[in-house]
Amino acid sequence: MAELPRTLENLLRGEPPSDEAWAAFAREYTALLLHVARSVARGTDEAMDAYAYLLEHLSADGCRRLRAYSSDPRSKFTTWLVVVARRICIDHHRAKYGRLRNQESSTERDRLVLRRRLENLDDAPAFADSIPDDSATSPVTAVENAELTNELKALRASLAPADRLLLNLRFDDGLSAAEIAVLLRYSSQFHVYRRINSLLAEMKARLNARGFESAVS
Amino acid sequence: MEKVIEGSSTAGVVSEQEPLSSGDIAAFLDGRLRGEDLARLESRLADDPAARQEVIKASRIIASAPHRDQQRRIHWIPVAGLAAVAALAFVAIRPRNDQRDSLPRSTERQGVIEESGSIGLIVPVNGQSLGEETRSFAWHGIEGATYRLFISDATGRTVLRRSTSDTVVALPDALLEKGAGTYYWSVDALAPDGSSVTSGVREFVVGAR
Repeated sequence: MAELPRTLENLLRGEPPSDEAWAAFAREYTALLLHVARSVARGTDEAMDAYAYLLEHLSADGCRRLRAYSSDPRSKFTTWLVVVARRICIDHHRAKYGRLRNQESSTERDRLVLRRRLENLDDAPAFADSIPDDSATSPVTAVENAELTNELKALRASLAPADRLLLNLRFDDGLSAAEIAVLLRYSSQFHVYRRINSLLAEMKARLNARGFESAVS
Repeated sequence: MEKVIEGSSTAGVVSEQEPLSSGDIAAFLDGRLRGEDLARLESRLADDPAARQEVIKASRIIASAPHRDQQRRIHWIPVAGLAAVAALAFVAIRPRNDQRDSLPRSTERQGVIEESGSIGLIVPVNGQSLGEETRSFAWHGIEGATYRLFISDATGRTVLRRSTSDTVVALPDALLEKGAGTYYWSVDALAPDGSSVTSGVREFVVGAR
C-alpha cells in the first residue's frame, strides 16, 4: 500500500476540508491536472473549461472522489489521479458535446460517404467487369483462409492472458515495442520482440502440426 | 494530443462490460498487481478493447507529463479559461508567479515522472557467468527503500520476481533448475515516499550444472 501524499493527507483530515488545504493540494497538482485536461480537450479554451470542471468535481462533497484513493491506495497517487482526472474530463466532454462514436466523427463520415459513392458507382466503364482480378480469391482459397483465421483465433484464445494482451497491444492496437515494454513491465523493448517472436514461432509450429504448412510459410 | 472528437478515445468505443476501477488501472500502470489480480486484469484487457484503450491513453498521459522544471514554466492561462476558473469557489488555487519558485517539491510527482534516476547494479556484471565465485545479485541501496529483483529469460518472460529490503539476493535454486542459458536482471527500488527508480538491464549467464 502506498502512503498518502502529505498534501492529500492534510486535505482529507478536515471534515469538510479547509480552503487552505485545498489550495495547497491544487497548487501541488495543478500542472498534472492541466496536463490531463489538455490531453483530452481540443484547444486552450476547452482545456481550461475541462480543468475548471475537474477542480469543481474533485472538491465536491468534501473531496469525496479523492477520499476514494485513501481507502484503496494500491498505486502511486499521481497515477491514480491521472486515471480519475481523465475519466472526469471524458465525462465532462460527453455531457457537453454528447457521446461520440466513430461513425460520428467527420473523418469517418467522409470515409463512409466516399465508400458509398464507390460502391454505388454506376457510370463505370462497362468493360470493367471483364477485367480479370488477380487478387480475387477462389472459393477453395477463401475456405482455407477462413479455416486459418478460425484456427488463429483459437490459438490466440488459448494463450496465457499476459501473452494475449501482448499480441493485442502489438497487432490490434499498434503499440510500439518500447511502449509495450513500459506498459507490461518488460525489461526492454528487445524482450518484447523476443517474446512476440517466440509466441509467433510457437503458434506457427502448432499451425503446421495441424496441416496449415503452406498457409503460414 | 488525444482528440475525443475523432473517436480515438474511449468516448468513441463503447464497452459492454462494467468499466475497470480507477484503482485497478492505476495499480496495473504502476506494476503493483500480482498473481491472480494481475492475471484477471490482463485477461480483461486482452478481451476488452475499450478498457485497453483507456489504459493506453492514461499511460501516454503519464509518460508525457511535464517534468517538474517544465511545470514551473507554465505561464499560459487564457482570458476565457481564467474567467472560468475565477468563477469557481476555489479561485485561489492557481499559484501566483512569486509562489512558483517556492512550490513544495512533490514526492508523488517524482514518482510518476522523474524515474530517470538509476540504481547502481554491482554483480553480476554484464555478461558474467554465475557459478561458484558469484552466486548472488547485489546493487547499491537507497535509504529506506524496498526492492524488486526481476529476472527474465531470453524470450523476455519474467522467470523470477523477488521482493526484498536487502540489497543482496542469493542466486535462487529455482533459476538454476530452469537450466543453462542467458538471462537478464534488473532492480526496481520503491522509496518510502512512494517514488521509484529502476536500474538498467544486465545480462548474465547460467552455466550447465
